[in-house]
Amino acid sequence: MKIDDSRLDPSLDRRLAALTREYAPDPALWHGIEARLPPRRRSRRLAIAAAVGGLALIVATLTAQLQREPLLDPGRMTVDAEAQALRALEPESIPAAWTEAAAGLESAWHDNQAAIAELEQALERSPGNRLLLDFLAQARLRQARLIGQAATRNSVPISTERKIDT
Amino acid sequence: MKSNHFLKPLLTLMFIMAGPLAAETVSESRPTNTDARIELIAVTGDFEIIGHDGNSFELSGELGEDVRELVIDGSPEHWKIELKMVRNQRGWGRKKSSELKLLVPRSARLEARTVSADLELIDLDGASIEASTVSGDIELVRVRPFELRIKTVSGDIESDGGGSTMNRMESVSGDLELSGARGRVQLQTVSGDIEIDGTEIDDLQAETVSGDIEARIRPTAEAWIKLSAHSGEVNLQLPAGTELRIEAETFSGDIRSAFGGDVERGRGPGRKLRFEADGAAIRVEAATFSGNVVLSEFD
Repeated sequence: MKIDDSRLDPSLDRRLAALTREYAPDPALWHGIEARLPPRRRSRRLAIAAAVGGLALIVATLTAQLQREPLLDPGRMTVDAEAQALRALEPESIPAAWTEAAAGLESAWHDNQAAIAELEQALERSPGNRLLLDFLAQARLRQARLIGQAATRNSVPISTERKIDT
Repeated sequence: MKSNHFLKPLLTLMFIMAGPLAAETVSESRPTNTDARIELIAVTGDFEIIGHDGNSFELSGELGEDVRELVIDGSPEHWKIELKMVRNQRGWGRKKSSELKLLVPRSARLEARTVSADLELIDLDGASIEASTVSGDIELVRVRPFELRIKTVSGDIESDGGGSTMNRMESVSGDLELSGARGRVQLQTVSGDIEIDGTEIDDLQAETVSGDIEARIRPTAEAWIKLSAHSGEVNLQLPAGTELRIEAETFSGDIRSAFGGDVERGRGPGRKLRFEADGAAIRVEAATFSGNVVLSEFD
């Protein structure tokens, strides 16, 4: 169908163009819509809120746990492991062996000390006695050796270092 | 979080329960040259090292609960066998120590170092044998290397056989007992006794403070024997008729000799015996502070 333009009223077009093209609905309308919404949409929000809250709670709990037990920090874990390893370098059997050996060293020390005392007393009675002087020199050297051995009690020549190869 | 409370004690319990099971059986073998150098390093335990005719070393037995790791390193020319100790755990009672037997080529050069472990060396005749402990005892049976060096602090040393050219045994408070020795012998202790029985002895030096010295030897033609004790007795037995050059001296003890010579008393305290048989080349020196010196014969 063909329209004859000459028969149209131009003022009608102008009035039509002047009409308001947007209209804000009455706010009460939204409340009505909201009231008619199904209840499941409300529970989803609650679930999301609960999840967010739960996550926040977990984060807070983990943070508190990390502050109480900072072992999860790799640097701290390494330091602790090294400290343990250093403590482990001295097996209990080594001090035990040295305790046993120390009794022998002490016994030898007392024997030698008694010998020194006897020699010194004898030298007061026989000053310049060559035999006594020789024995005294040997006894003093022996005493120095015993002191040296006692001093190295904790440096046992047995390696306890950690090694991985087999 | 609740599971952690259960998990941690559970894991701890599992480790504790696993403890006694840590001792494991060992059976290791490596090709070894007949004159190889073999090192054994350990802390505690009981070790038997035996010479055999094979070209290998064979380690068998049980590792102690105090052993963290057995490390075997080296080549057929030189093996190092080391028992690494576990870290300082406080367990209930004493842990079971290692009990190992090590077979090595009879002519291997052996170096065994332990702390409190006992060592038993059997049938070895390599160039050198060295063994040391802190508090463990060392026993040698038919061990006849060229050079023998044994050292301990409080342990005893007992050797049947000995080095053909050099024997050195040292202790602080342990006793030294050597039979079948030859060549050069050096024995030193402080509060232990010394007992030696040897033939073809070139050079014998024995020293103790409070222990006694008992020596029964057959010296070579130009041997030098030097014995010293502070309060202990010195008893030297030599084949009857041995011609000697004797220098014996004591401050407050007595001197007796079956090989001739008169005991002299000086102006002060002390006694001496100086004697030289015609053409004698064997030299004996004996000295004590308060112990007696006795030179006697055997057939």
